[in-house]
Amino acid sequence: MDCKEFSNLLDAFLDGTLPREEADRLETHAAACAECASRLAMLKDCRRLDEEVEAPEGFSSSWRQMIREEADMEKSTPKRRKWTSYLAAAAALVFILGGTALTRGRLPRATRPVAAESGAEERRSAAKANSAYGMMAAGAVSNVTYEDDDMDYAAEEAAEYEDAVTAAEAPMTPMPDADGGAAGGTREEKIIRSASFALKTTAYDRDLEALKALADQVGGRVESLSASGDTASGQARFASLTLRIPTQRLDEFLSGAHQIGSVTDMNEDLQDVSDTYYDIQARLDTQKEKLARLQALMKTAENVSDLVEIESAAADAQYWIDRYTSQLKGYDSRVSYSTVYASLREVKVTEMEDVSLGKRIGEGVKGSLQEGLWFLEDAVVFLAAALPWLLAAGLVTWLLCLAVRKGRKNKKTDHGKE
Amino acid sequence: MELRLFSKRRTAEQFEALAAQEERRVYAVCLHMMGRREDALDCAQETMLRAFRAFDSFRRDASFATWITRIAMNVCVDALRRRRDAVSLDEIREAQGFEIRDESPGAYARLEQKERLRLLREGIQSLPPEMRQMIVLRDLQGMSYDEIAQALEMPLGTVKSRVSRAREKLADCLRQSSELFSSPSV
Repeated sequence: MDCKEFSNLLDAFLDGTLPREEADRLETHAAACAECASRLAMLKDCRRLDEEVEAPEGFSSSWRQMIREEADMEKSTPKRRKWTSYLAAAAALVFILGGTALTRGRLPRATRPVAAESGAEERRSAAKANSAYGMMAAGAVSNVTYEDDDMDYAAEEAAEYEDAVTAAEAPMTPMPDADGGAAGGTREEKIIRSASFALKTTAYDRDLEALKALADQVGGRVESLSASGDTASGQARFASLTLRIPTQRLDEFLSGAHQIGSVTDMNEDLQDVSDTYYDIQARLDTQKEKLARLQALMKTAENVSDLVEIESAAADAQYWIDRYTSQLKGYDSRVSYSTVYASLREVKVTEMEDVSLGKRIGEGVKGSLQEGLWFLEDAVVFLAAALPWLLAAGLVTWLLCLAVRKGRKNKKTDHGKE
Repeated sequence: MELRLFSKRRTAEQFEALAAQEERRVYAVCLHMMGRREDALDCAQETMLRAFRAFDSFRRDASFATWITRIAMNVCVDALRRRRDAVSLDEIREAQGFEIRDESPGAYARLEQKERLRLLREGIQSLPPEMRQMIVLRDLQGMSYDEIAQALEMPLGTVKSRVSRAREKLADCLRQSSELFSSPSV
């Protein structure tokens, strides 16, 4: 055996795992080699060195006491790491639940029309639709379009405008007495009546027909009808009518309307146009007299230029006669027939039923479970939508922690060097 | 919270039961590393405390002896780094005026056991901490190379090579010391 082999077998010899033959060879070499003998003695002494060591008195009791104190201290003062873990868990829970509750209305819907817009566009469209729907839902009659009524209304306005123009443009001729020239006589009053009312009904079709029939019955007519709403989609129906009712039978018509449905709103308007009417009447008479005189003058015209002048004046007079006649006819029409604006709104009757306590409890529990499932679903959608932000926040936090740890490590190293 | 407290009490009892079997070994390792009883006691206490605080992370299927020995080594190496007063025998001898003689093989083996053990202690203390821990774990504690590799989280080959170098270094120290005692100085 040489020294190298001796060195290789030394550990096994000291551990007692070397076979007997090899051990003998090793000892034989040690007896012959002083260096290897010293090495063997050194390592044997190392083992003896450890065997001589005894733990001092009090060491055992002191470390036990220290451990118990440490355990008691940790019991009374919760570890900061656990406290922060609970806090972090609570914060995460509050973030998820609170964020979901606050943003549920803006999360992508579970069902929506095909080829729908993106979530943001859908919100904007919904906001616009809601504002328009809100107006419709409030039953604003002004939003309902009138088919023929616009023309009639415009005609009435135009007639009033023409009266003003007529007064401004009418030739300055002396006018007879405004009461039609009947000295000492009483003139007939010219009163334009109009009315409007709103009806609520649970039998929409029946009552709409009844309203039309009532108008027909009193000698009136439906001038325009506008309807909206759709039973199939659950939208309540609404109808808007413009009726022309003989003024003498207007009260009869309005009374009959009360029988048809529940009247929620009723307005009546009276406009006395007697002065204006008879003023126009007087002007008309004047123009007619003027025309008659001019026609008589035409027969006695001496030259062409006079004839032309007379004819021009006659044409002018005829123009005003036509115009005044038309206005008077308009007034006559409005005086004879009153304009009634009616609206009919369908209302649904809610059938009530008695619900047992058990059924109520069951429906309540079912509703809560369903609501909880929907909330969970929304929470998952919220988390997914917030993921990019969470990742960004996590990255920033990680970088900050890294920087802080590095700073502390450098500080420790500097302190150690000192 | 009550459940957690109960488990903490059981953990302290469990730790005491396991640590009691290794208290002598822990003290011995600290003594061999630190060289002084007072320092060894401090390090041994610190080892027990650190081990208890880290007990939750101890894998029950691993060796408790290896695990706590590793903690003891870390405590001692940290303490030695802070102490910074370890000097080599060469420096001691030079300071005292001794000359380093030529090495004489076999001189250590010829000394009396009592003297050999004293020189051995001094020799171990003169080694750098990294070499010292190899001698302490392998030759004083008798841990296997695998156990040392596990305790120090080092590759097996590195452990073997460091043990070999540490032994060489220690043998050199002892040769010089033995020569000093076997042959009186001028």
